[in-house]
Amino acid sequence: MSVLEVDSLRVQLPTPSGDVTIVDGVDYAVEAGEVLGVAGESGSGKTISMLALLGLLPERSTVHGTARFEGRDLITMPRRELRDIAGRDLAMVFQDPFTSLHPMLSVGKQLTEHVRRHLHLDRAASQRRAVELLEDVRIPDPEAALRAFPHHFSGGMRQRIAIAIALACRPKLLIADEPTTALDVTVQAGILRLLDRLRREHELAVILITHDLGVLSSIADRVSIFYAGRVVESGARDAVLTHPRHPYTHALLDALPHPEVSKERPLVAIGGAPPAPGRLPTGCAFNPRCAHAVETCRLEVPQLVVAGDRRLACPVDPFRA
Amino acid sequence: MSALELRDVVVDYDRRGGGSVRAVAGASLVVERGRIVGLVGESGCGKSTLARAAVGLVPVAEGSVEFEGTAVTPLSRRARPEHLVRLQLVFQNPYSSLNPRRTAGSQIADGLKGTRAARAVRVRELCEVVGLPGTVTSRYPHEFSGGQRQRIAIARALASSPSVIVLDEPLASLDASAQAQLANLLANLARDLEVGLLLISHDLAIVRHVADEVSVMYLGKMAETGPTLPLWTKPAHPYSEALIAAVPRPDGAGFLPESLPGEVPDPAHPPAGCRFHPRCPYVFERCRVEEPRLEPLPNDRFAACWLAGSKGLG
Amino acid sequence: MSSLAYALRARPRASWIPAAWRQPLAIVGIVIAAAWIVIAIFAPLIAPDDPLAQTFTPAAGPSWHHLFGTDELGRDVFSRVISGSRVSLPIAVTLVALAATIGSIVGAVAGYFRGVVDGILMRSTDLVFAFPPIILAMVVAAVLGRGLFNAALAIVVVAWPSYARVVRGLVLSVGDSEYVQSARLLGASSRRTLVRDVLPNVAGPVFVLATLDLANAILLLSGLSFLGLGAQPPKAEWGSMVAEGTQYFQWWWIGTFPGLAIFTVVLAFNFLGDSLRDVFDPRTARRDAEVEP
Repeated sequence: MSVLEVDSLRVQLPTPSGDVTIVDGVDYAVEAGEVLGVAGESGSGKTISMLALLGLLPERSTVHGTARFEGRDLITMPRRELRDIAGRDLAMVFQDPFTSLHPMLSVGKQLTEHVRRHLHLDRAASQRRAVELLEDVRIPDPEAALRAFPHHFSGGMRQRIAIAIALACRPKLLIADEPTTALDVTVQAGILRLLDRLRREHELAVILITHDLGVLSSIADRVSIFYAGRVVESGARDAVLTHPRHPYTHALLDALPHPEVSKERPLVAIGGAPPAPGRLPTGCAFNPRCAHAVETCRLEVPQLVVAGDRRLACPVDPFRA
Repeated sequence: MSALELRDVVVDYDRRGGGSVRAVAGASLVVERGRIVGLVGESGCGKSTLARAAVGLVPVAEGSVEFEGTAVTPLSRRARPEHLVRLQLVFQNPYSSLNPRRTAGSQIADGLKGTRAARAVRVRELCEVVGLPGTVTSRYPHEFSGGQRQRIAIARALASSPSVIVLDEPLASLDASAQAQLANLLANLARDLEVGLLLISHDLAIVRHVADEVSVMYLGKMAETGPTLPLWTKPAHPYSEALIAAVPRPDGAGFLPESLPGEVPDPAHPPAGCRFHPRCPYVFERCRVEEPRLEPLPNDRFAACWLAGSKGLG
Repeated sequence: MSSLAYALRARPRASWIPAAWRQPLAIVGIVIAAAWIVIAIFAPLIAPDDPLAQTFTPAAGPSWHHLFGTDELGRDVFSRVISGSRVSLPIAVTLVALAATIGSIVGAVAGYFRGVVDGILMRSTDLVFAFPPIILAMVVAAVLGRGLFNAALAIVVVAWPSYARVVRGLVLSVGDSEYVQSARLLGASSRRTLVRDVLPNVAGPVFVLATLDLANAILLLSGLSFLGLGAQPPKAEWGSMVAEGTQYFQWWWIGTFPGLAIFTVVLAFNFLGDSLRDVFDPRTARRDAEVEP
């Protein structure tokens, strides 16, 4: 059974000009020990779809669909129960390690408080657990680190601490939202290796949200590509990234500099810009930027359907093998 | 004569609460017209400070910065000397480098002279060069996306007919597609307008793609410099090697990038000997006591490593 | 999307509520302030009686004839409150404009020249800030001598430093901003960027501060008059009217209605200033949709 199974998730956010659909019928599943990579440009709905699961959306947002976490639906669950699960069985790590930690509390306080509240451990036991956690995320000299404050640490170390806090209650699922975007490549590599080790050792399911296909390619087992609030292509990492079939996935990969590509060849940028939520074109949201669009693309919203080794939302399928 | 030449530049910063920090500790760099020089390194290595020193935004404590044969003087209250205006800087964040209360057109025209009509024509031309429609001139910055703002910032720099533009992380805040568009634009500027570009970036993949030469900076000094492709395929300095190995590859093969343990040390207390030795996998006795200088290697390459000469880079 | 997520996290849910209820308050502020301005302009037409004429039964309670009653000397309180607006509002506007001008110049000079100039100017503002405003205004007004003009002058003396501080801070931060540095690198002199880039960005916050300060000025002016240092009898000034009222507590209407006038004006300008702050807030301004040409 999947740790998390999201089915036809729809999210509408209130804006000054009325409700706007940000996520429009998204589904995915993650298994224990698996990393699901979620990629897309900014504004594609990837973060909002995760915040919706945790009940972290602004007031007056509407969420439809189901999100079964170990068999129970997060969407319809009472708020109090959700709060109990979020933070214990289901943890989140954010992009900015400079704002996700409390600046005025010691690392030890932030770690042990969390552990004590959710696991009901006494002082000594929670202290031991905190040291264990810092060792697990490879913080040198964990005893001293517990007494230190977040500003004593570099960005990479802070992100490790944030991950330690997320792992404190042995979650089944970790949602990491752009966890390495603010970091140097050298430090990013360390965090990616850490996530990779944790999911192997702890059978942790990980949802990794990123705009960086390189990051995705290094640790994701399966990937979902988001565009304008929908999944346009999903499947095994090597299938989707080595042989992309949706014109959008294809274009995203073409836009990246690749070591084997000659310097003389310019990067292939996608024409136009992603549509603003609430002002989507009719039919396939990508059709105005797509070189392969045909008449149906402008009329009908393509459904995500099984297409060989993956699921694809493109009736044209120009890159079929 | 080189367009922009930095020789043994040292920049000190006053630290809050007393004391000073040597952010740049003797770095040299040359940018020729029409060439793109990439400057890479982890955050805190001094690359942004070096960029500011190169255009005169921060004063140089030692060493020299020369632009087309004349010294680059630090900015005072007076207008910048005429000949230095052809040396420009584009900042990382396109949201803070444009005045929110002035139209795009008026800001692009900042570096232009001549009659109102002539300036308006030139502004439209510059918009075209950077790939924006001429109609954008009457709009305000908040009406544009990040990528478009960065184009406006570049058009603004181009208004002074620059021979060198220093770009401090110009792509960092943009989506992949906008990055690709801008990277292509930079390559075109160098090729078509003969502008020399100093491209500071932490994104090594982009630098590899567009730069003719690369300088790798570590803790205020150059660790290695050289033509891009040879440096990439066979880095001479262990730090370059680590940086390159840490770049993830979007090929779907599941290659897990190599992490470089440790962190950039506090520039106020650089390690003795080679600055990189505490993090270096090849460290040996000499590295701990004696600092290697940037020495020439075959094929226009330079590296500051005791082992560089023995790597057979001929 | 991450930027949206960041915005959602950065703005706690609670702050969505004030944004919603601030709107009606802004409208209340505008309506009340506008009403008072209209009243001040047409005071002689609105006031049924001469505010100084002592022609009625003294100390009569509110009635159809005298809406707010009459005072101990037989003057119509309603007419005196109406004509009092012609004293407080124009003086408050003038003195706030004066304080804002002086303070902004001092602040701009300090922020532009920095260094020693900055040190001297800012220490002098600190000196003024060291005293509670009403005490300092009392001392200045007492030294200058009683009278409305001197009281207004005293308020200018205590009011300018806050403008100096705000403007200096803005000139420093905008002056160091990347867009000013870019303009400087393109060959603009420091003075040119001050005029073209810095000052336009300073104007908004100063305007907000001035609107809020209008309320303070009216309060201070009334306070000084209440203490006998401002407007002198028989002039119909709200503060001095409240002061008179305190001597006759059994005739509550004498002091209460001018007090309500002060209260509504102060409230209106505070609401107005708060909503103006939102108008000039770049975060709210940035909400416009981005265009994709």
